[in-house]
Amino acid sequence: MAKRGWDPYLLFPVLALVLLGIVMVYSSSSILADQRFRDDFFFLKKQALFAGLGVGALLVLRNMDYLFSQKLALPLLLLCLGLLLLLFLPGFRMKMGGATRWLRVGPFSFQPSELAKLALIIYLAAYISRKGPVLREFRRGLLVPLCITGFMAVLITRQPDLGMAFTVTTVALLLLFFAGARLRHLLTVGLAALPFLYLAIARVGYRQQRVTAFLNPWEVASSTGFQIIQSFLAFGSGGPLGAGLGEGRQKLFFLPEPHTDFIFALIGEELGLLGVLIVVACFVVFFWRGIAVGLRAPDLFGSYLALGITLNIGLQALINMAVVLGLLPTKGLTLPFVSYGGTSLLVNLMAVGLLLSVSAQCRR
Amino acid sequence: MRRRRNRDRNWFRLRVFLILFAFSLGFVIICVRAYQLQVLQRDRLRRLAGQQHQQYVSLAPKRGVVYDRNRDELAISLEVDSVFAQPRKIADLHAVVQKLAPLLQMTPRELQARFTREAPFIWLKRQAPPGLAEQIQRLGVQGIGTLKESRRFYPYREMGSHVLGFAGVDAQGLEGVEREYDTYIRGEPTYLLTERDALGRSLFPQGLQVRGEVEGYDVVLTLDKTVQYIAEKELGRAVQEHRALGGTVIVMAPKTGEVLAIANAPGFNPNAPEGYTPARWRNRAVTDVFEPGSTFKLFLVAAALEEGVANPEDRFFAEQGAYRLGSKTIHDVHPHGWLTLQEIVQVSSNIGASKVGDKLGRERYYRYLRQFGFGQRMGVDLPGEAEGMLWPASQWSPLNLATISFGQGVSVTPIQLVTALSAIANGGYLMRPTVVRKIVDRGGHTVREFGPRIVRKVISRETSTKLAQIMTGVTKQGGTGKAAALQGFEVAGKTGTAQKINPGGKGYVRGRYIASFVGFVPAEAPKLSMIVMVDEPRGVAYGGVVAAPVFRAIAEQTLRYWGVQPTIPPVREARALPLPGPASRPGGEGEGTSPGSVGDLTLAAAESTGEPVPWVVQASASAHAQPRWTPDSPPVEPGGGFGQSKATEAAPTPEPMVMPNLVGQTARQALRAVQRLGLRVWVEGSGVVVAQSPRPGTPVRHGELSQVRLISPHAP
Repeated sequence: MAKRGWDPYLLFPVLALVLLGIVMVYSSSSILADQRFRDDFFFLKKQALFAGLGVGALLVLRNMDYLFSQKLALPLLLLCLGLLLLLFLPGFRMKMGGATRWLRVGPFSFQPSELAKLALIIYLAAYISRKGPVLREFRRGLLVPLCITGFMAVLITRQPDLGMAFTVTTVALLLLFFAGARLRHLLTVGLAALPFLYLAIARVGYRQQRVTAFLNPWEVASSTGFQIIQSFLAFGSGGPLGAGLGEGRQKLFFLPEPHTDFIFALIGEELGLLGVLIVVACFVVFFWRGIAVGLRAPDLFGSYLALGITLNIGLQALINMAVVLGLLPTKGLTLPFVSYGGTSLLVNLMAVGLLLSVSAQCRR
Repeated sequence: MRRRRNRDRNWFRLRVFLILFAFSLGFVIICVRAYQLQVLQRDRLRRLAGQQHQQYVSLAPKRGVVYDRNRDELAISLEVDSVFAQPRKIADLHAVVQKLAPLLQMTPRELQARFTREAPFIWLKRQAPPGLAEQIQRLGVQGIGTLKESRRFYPYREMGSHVLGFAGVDAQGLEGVEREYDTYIRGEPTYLLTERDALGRSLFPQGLQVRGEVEGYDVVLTLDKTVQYIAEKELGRAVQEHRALGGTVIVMAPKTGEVLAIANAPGFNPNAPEGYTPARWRNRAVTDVFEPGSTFKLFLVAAALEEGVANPEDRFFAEQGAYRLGSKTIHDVHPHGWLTLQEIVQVSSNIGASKVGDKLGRERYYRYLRQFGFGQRMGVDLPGEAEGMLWPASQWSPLNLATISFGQGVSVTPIQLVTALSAIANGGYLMRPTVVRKIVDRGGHTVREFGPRIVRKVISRETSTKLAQIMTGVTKQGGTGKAAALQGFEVAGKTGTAQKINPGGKGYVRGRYIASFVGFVPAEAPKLSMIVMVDEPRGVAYGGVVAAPVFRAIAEQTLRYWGVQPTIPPVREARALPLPGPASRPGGEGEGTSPGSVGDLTLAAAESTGEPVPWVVQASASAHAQPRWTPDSPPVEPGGGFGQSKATEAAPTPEPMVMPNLVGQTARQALRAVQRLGLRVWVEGSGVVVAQSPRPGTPVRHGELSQVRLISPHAP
């Protein structure tokens, strides 16, 4: 199967977002980095390093036949589940901000849930393409992927990282929906999950607060609504054209985690509505193109792989932007390609590599 | 089977379509929400953000240094301690207040009142005296601390205060250069972060963090500290001596328009400006207008000469001291008959000036006054410059024309007058007056440089030379400004005595005068131009008595400070010149003048001949080492290298010529040598050449006027 040209509609938006991300990570984190590490380039260096590694991985994967990943699907999934379990052992894990999401790897930290998400998508794509119409049956078709997804979601929720668990589950369900699973089955599963979701929120104080803060941030402006209101203020001070790169003030004093979860608010402040629209446009182009690749892939595995990867990135971007704009309750989700985070950036770029590989073999 | 596949495919497409639709809707909602926040709610959110940033206390940034032209520091910033409190951290407010109040010299109640405001950070004492900070630190109270702030310090106190101005407690420039150049000097504001950043997470464990320290640029003034000192000292002395309300002196480098000194009496100490009424802060040299009086005649004569209406020797009838014009009568201090134009200036005849004004006509006179810059701002780089008042010519009655001819019925600022005077001194170029030369950063790199700027050419070099010569008569025997005469230099000047205008309305205030003197020196190649104004001197109020001596004192000390060689050689020096032997001595010429009777050359010559002595430059002037700036070294020579000059004189000479050394030659020899070069020459005296202008070796141009002075040698 001859590889055809690079798909510009996938590649350019992604590269643009990665570059923007590096710039904005520096703009948002230099002061924090100077405070914590006496090196204002600290986060910039790491982000650039992982962007380089990620682009390298992207190039390699783009030039490989994506079908190899079908064979690796199960071992990779098992490896990731193992890594997620490792997080429960005290020796290997790192705690940051009250959560245990990272494994220590030499000087770096590694977030297994990011890789696990990709592994699950590959596994599901392989599983679905193998089973085909059988998915319409619950026990013979849906049960296994749902159990694996649920198990992974529980592990991730225990980290705790409810946002990640939510996206993993949603992407899996969407993929199964694409594959022809009955809506009735999926809805049943979804409804069955609701009580757990409710418990997960209601039993944990801060999650409850986040929901109330979301529902009426201005009433709790000085306490739990603080974060989201700071985000509003950032967008508002940015206006249509922005305060200018590096000129944002919210990042200095008020905006929490401006280089990770809330980097989109900083883009809103420094680059204005214009910058916001450009970021959204990049994701929209990427998303439509990714879906189109899924529809035209030469085989079912490629098709579901492309759809899964595209849905995952699109969903995560959508949720992150919605959270930052106050349309959804606060979650610990990053903006793909843009937010600071080595594992996330690396894994997402690897995923894009696979997607490009599928695209290169598409029927035109 | 095929139908089944088709159905599956359609289902698949439908599902994909649904997902695409849902996601696209999501992205659209994102965009709409962003539009709502960033455009529709922008103002509200921005205002809220601003309010919240104000909780971040701004600290006085470190202002740049203000230097004089020789890089002496006139304004610097020192680090001082300020005492603050973080009320939320204070456990027992009452105890803290009891402890602190005596240290801060406040009553406990006063101090307590400071804490009522709900704020994470409050100042208790800005810029505390030394020692207090240590005492407070020693108390070790949680929630009370000290911070380094910068405070403006003016090491020379009152000196130059009206030019420098001062800065407030938040380091904002409030007056003078500090205000005019605030954007350069101030630097970036410094912020203090309190711990209120996000959800109780303490980004800054120490609770306070200073951010954004960017120091301001330094400013180099045109002022010369020494000249400024001399001007203030002499002005102060005169004001005291004449028990005057106050006074103003401006010293300017006439070729460049650079202000070398501005003195206003009484002054103020910019280290503690709050101890004076705001009126004392005002730089009256630029903000206040006065009626110029007789000094204004200079501009009338300049216009008349330039227009060819009158020559220095033309005569006007001075009506024996009283001249009836319509319903009013114009008076002179002393009655005169026929006066030449030169004498009108010399004795300051109002009637003579009226006659000249009449001959010139109001339209032309008005045009020249506007050209000299009257009735409009000069654009000096100091705040609050006044325009002065000059009615349009069309509104002048014949009486107005007469009074404006001798400086009544107009008002000017001192800076206007000295700038216009400088145009007469420098060959006719009106320069923009400046007090700042350049702005430099901390590394010494020039950020902006303000070179001399020509506003326009007003009169020709010939006119300016003629007028300067006329003006030298003022400081000679028979002139009103003899007290301004300097030993060794020709002084061009003009006195003025103006009754003060009634500030309430029309007319003048009886018995209240402004005595003034304007002048430049050396007259033939001015290095400084100056205005001296004394406001309401008691007793004798004549400009020639009150202001002229101040001019003399300042000019004398300044020229000595610069090391400017006297241009008129004292007689002893002249005799010491190598004179030619008896063979070349023209026999009999100039015989009968006893050298012993020539004490002071200037005065002696004037006394003996009764004629104004033209200037001459000492031929034996040696190259003088000048480590500091002198007026010989401005970057632009008027008439020489002006890029924007419209002057026809600015045409480059085809071949460079230099002035030969004529000293020791006879009149005939000297004439021949000079005329060979195509120079015009003005010979004064008889005998052999003892002095010449230009100096030997100076580049000269065809047609340039040169002068030689001869003295008859006496064989012992």
